[in-house]
Amino acid sequence: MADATGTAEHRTGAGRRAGPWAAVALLAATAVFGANPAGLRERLVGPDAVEPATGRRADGGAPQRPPATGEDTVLRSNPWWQQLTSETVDAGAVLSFTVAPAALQWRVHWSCEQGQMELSSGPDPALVTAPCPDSGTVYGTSTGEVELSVTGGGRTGLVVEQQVDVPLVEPPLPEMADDDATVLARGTFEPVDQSTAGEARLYRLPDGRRVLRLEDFFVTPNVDLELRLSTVADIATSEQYLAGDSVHLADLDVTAGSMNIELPPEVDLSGFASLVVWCEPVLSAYATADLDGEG
Amino acid sequence: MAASLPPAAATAPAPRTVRLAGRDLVVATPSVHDPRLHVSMVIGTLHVLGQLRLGFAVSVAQILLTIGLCALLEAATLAYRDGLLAWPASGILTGSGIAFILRVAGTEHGDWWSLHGIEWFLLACVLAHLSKYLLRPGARHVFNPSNVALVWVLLVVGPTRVFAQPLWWGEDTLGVALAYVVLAAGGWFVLRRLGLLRMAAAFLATTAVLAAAVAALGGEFVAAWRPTPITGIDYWQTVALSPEVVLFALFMITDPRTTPRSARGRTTFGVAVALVFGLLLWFQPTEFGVKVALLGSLVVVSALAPVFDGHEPGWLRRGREGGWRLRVGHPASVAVAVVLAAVLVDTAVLAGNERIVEIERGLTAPGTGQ
Repeated sequence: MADATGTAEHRTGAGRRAGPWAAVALLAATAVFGANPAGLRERLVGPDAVEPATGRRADGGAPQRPPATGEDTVLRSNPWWQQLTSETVDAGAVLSFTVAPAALQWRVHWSCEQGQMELSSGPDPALVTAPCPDSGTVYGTSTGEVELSVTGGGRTGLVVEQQVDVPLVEPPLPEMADDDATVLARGTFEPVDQSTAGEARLYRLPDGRRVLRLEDFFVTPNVDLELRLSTVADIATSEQYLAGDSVHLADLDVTAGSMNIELPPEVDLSGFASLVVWCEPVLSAYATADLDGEG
Repeated sequence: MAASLPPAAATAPAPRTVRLAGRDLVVATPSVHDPRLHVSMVIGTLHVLGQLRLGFAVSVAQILLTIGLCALLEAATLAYRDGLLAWPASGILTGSGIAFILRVAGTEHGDWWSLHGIEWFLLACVLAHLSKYLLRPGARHVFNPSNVALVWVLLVVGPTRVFAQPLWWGEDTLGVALAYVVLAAGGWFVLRRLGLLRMAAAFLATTAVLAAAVAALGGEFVAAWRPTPITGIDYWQTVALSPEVVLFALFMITDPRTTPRSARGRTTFGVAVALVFGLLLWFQPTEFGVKVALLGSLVVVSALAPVFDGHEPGWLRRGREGGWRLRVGHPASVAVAVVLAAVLVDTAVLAGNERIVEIERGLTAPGTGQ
């Protein structure tokens, strides 16, 4: 009896001694976690990472993992439209496509030739009922598999797009690595009125096309952004930008990622000193990259 | 013949007791002279200013629940451990301090009853309480409870979920001016009586010098409230004169229970906290890192507070050959050492975390950063 009591007391005492040390071990473990080894904290507690899109067209539907980096990202772009499919179908056809889980919405640009066209999805009331010839756009918010049934309308053109806010990570064009390709200028984005990061490189490809490559590019998301070339260097304010001349290069719908933008052939690059992300409705220069010419 | 009681004892009223859960608890009524009550009033006024004028991104519900839990934990501990039914002044102050500084990504000003991320506030409460009652290798707790809890939550939960109240309190000049007045008046009224003004002044003066040096040497950091990095005179102004830093100096480092007792010790303590802050600050490229460096500096120096009075810290002992050695057989002592090392290492590691830079520059998904 005495031995059993002594053993019980020994176990209780040992348990009491082990408790504080277990707490110390837990404290040390959280301390190591706080150092964020190998990004463990971000993986466990951080925001949901998503796969970037690899192209402006999602072959097969959902955005695909980029082959270059294979890394999910927590960064986001201003929402942009990624094409899912583009087809011309006959009356009675069923068009199937898959909308990504992360997509914000989808839309269908339709155009019909003759008669009365009806576009429907499942048992729900028709999305569109229109006398042809006519065209329009219809929107939906479902994700996953979607089937559109086309009734009447003759040959009907359908362009399906999904709106996503993931970065666009396009690989460089193969021609950019060609020996006959020339880097005309390069620059690093600096903030003016908003946040930014990334590099810009302007290529002349062997076939004469000029392509702007944005690498690891980010700018504060917004609609109505455009890329412009400016004659002003070292832009620190929107007023400085407005004091010089500029030319429109491209609308900037994707505000995060790596992408290739072909320049309009009529743009003359001589005399321009910087690249600017410009928002015309509020007259604000979001970011700029001074272009250092190489060729 | 029975000995007679001294006159005072004979006329002293018996303490009032209340029976609760089968125990007689002595009722300890709050005193209007309790400095904790005065500090709570100052912080409470700043909370109101934060909601009405300064656009603080914390909800009324988050504030009240945090204070409520901290108060409840304190009251329950006093009742259980000391048999006291007391006004939980320390708990209220701890909760108020946590709610004043801690922010959860995605909480918006004006969403008065949001409970978004309430779990992080409550976690901080629990951690503060545990640190106060478990990390006691000597007679007193080592760390300012709200301070160490805030640092732990910021470091462990991380910048994708939580952050600290920014150094910049907004464009409302009148609101910020009122805040400075409240801070100055409250600090003068409370700290002068406690002999802690010199400590706060020593910290602020040393910080001003060090911040100027860092700014002059090209130091800069990014913050969510400005697209361009903060450098030069802006750097100095933001670090040395921020109402957050003034609040820290007046009402966080001046916790009488975790700071030196002697006047000289207190002044040196204030300088030491500023020196550690300056050292940790130098490497930080983001405001998140700057705030953790600020709060972490107090954790580090608090562990050595008795040294400033010429005493041995409770978690260390004199070695036979001189010097100090960790009491490795004592869990609380080892825990203090773990906290000290972790705060230094984890704060330094923040400097290389590019994710924080992305968050501060507004490049991450909405709701995941500031």
